[in-house]
Amino acid sequence: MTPYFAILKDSFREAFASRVLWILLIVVTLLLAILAGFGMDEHAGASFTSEDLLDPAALYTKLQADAQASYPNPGKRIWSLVEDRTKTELAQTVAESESLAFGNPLATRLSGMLNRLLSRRDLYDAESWSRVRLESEAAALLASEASQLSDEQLARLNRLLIESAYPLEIAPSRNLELYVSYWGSVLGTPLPLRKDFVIKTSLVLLSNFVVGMLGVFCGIVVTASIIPQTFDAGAIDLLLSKPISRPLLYLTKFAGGCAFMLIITADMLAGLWLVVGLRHGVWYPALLWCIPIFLFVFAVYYAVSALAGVIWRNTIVSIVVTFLFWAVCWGLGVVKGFVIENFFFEPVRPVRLIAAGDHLIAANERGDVVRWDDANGRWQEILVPDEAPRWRPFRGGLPLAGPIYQQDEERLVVVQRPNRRFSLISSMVPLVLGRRNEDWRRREGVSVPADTSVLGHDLEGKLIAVAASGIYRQNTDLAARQRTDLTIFGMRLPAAFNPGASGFEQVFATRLTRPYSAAVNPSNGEVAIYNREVLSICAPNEAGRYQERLRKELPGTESAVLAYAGDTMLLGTANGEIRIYSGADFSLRSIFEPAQGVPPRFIEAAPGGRRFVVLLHDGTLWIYAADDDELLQAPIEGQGDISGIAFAGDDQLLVADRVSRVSEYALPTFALVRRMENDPEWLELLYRYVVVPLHTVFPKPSEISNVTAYLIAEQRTMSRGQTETDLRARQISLDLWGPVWSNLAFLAVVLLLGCLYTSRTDF
Amino acid sequence: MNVPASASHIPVAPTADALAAEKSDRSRSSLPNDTPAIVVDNLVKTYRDGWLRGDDVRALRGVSFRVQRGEIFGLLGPNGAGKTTLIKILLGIVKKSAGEASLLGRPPGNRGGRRRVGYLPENHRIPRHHTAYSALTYFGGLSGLSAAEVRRRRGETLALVGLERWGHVSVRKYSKGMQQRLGLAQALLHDPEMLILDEPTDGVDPVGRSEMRSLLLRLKQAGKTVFLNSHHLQEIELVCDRVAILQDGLVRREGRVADLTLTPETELYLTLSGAETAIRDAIAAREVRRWSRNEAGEYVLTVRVEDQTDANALVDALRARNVALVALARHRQTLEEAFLSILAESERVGLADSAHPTATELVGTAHPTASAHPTDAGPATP
Repeated sequence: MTPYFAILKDSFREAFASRVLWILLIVVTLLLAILAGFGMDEHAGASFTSEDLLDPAALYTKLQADAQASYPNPGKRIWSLVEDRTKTELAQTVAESESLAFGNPLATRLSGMLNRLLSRRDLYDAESWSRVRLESEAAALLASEASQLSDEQLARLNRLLIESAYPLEIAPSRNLELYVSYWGSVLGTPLPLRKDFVIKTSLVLLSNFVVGMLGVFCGIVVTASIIPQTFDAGAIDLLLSKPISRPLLYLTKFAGGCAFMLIITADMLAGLWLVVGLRHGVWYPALLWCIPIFLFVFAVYYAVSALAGVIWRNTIVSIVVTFLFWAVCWGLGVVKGFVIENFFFEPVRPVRLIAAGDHLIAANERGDVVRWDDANGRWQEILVPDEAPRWRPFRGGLPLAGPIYQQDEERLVVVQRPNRRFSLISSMVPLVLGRRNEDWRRREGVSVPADTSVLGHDLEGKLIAVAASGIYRQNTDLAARQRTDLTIFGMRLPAAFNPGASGFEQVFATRLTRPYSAAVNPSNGEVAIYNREVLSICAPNEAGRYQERLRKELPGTESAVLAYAGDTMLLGTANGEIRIYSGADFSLRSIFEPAQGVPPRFIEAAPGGRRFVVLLHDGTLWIYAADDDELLQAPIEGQGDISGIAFAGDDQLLVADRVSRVSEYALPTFALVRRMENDPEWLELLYRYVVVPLHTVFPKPSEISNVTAYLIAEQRTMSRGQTETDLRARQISLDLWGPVWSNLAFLAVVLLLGCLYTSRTDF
Repeated sequence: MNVPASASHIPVAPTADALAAEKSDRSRSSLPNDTPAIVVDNLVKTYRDGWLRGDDVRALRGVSFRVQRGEIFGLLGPNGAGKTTLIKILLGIVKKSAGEASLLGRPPGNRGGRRRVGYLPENHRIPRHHTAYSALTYFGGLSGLSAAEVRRRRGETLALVGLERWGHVSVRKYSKGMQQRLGLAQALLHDPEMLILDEPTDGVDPVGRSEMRSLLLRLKQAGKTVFLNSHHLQEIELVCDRVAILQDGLVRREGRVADLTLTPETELYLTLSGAETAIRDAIAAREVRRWSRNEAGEYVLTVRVEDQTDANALVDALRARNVALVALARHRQTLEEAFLSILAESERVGLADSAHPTATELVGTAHPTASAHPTDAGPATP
């Protein structure tokens, strides 16, 4: 092996003799020095952000009203501490906001005002807060002498005092918030994020961008000359006169080219590992594992460069061919994933399915409600809004709640997303109704809170709505909308400004923080809620009001989805666990982890509570039978590509897959009962028979970033355009092994071609 | 080049290890020591060229010759004659189209054969990140030498080619001649049994060329076989035992240098003492190209004779007439003259491709012309 070892050693010698390498090493070191300046500190959650203010207009109005009251109250105390200049600015903002269509400057000014109060040691006044129920944490802080509290404790106390006074207008604070600093100077406002999450996400982005893209780019440009120079006349004669094998010479030179990338990658990632470890005290060995992974990505591109180099023996041609290859791989991925799937298929895929009598209704990702038209054999849109945006992919989004079907009235009820531009102006939105006998024509009904996320029925058949501010129950006819047109300057206001009267009464007041999750038990009308690491069940009393019956703390679980039927509750957590609880006493029956690290998107319960289905974010469907206490993968077609699930009864399961296909299965045999699917259009045919096969065959070097994301952040899925961690929001399942195998196969084939070429060519 | 005084101290003499390895190598291949170093038999090479490789270019059209072990063999020919192609086929860099060839008793390109050959290609390029020492470490490693062996040999090898003080200097700073010397050093480093040198003195100054010739002769004394491809005909003439002249992919002439330069029709240089009439009588009808007298009163003549028999007859006639032969020398062609005449003859008989430049053009423009000179000069004994 001496000759090949000599070639390899020479490659390192050549790399170290290269000025470009030293320049890159200096750049990397400078970058690491810059990154080392960032510090992160977690503090008890205190500061207000504009997102914390759920209803800034209401808060401002209440503050003003309270300030005018004759008796002491928190609003009076708060307003008394606000500077006159701030009051004037707020009044100005309110006056201007009528003419503002975008943004919410009031929330920004109010949150600024409240933040300035956080450092005041004289905010608390026992008399003013005498009528406010304080949480135990606030009570504990108040027990200490105000002067004894640290600044951080004081800010936390003041935050708790203010949010307790206005629970419906101000969202509860997080336990912790993150301050980002640079060499000791705090940057911007605190982030409502965990330190660990921020570091991991930053590392994934940094390593994928700096090493995976820029590093590989530099590596290709710098190493492209190695193979052409080796096989150039004058150099190759000398090498081939030595007792070495041509393919092994080629492979060793290829490996030698990778030495350059190894040095750069190792410098960057090991440096990052050291910086993060020394600066933040957390050591991520996964960063070191990323070194061979990025080397592998480089090797895929470099194999193309080497093959072009040995054929044309020209550095420029090698670089051009490699970047063309990159463009084709990237273009194919973009066409498949971003253009076709994201813009054309995903928005119209059925997500929520409802058996409305003998009609099948579905709501898709962009918020359309569609009905299967048996006569024409295609999905037909119903509940069509009057002002539907032309560019359909950006229409609203998945309905906030529903649709659900009211059998007695033969009516669909759905809470659609309000137009974003006006969403902060009103806290109520009208229900959208559609009757079967009116061919599902859209009608607007009474209003529900704008943040309603779950609809269900109680035992009396009344509609139950779960919103952030509590549980609401229908108290009038849903269709009894009384709306008088509002005009301003002679122009009729859009419907969003004028939600109409609420047809619901609050039957349980609480404060839920997104992303909370809730489910109404069809068997007993109970409502299960998961909010801020607390799982609870609220049961209706005889007066129709709800009371918390059970409560269980689940620390460390950020977000979850749940289903509750019969006496069984399924809770799916963000880390991919499915926990089975008894609805009677919250005793834990089982814990399953169907696909490691892949969280569930939806869990649906059969009405009787004997069966549940779990749809994971990787598109696989699992069925839980309460009697057997087993969670099994459903033996149906389309696993891995399923977008929606629902029970059409205790023994009928509806499953949506592909672009528009919905299949009905009979349980427990999973016998196919019927199948509904649009005839494929040209785009779907092109996708199915051209784009997908090409994408499968082609290597996917850029998708190796899935592996690094998994290694560093243990991330198996990726949300697209979502900032909050709502599990119900669509996420893309990250394919870990697919890109690895396809890239490995491609690498092997290209290297083999290179070996064949070198062994058969006359040099 | 500083040639060491004693050949036993230079690496051209195989070390005990090398001899043992060679013995083992030979025993494996069961090759007798008298196997020709190179055998080329009716060798053909056709390159595919042009769009879709539709055009055939015939570089070798049936070349045959042998190179014996221990001799210095020169390959001559104009540009495009196929010399480099032939070398590349022997080393396995290019594949033959037809015919047979062997190098040290092994098929062309055989790794065992290549291990025992040192090759200096024409216009070779040593990677520019090297110094002489690191380059020798690299190429020594490619030849299978360990780093320790390279360290042991590199100093004396560089001394052999006159680069002993340039070991740590980057090759970027080397002149063309120095790079050529370093190329020769890498070919010698692993103490090969045979050297294939393609234009070894290209870019080397006259002193260096002279040192190179000395080195080649000492390599021959050490039992090495040298296959030399050079445009410097004088160099070939001075060091080669045998040569082959290649033109248009065919061997036009092969043999000892003395045989190639010797032509039947030639001139005799005579210094005679005797009666003028006797001399004129003896010369008879032969063409006299020069007639003069030196300070001693002797006649100095240049006479054209037909062949050896005619020369003998002239000498007999002079002796019969009591003319004393003070000196007699026979004029030989230089190798260049022989080379040009062989090529011209080939062109005359129409074997040469009319598209190729003439041999006169090639040699006349590319290489210094060796002046005609008498050889075998010395007093003739009657």
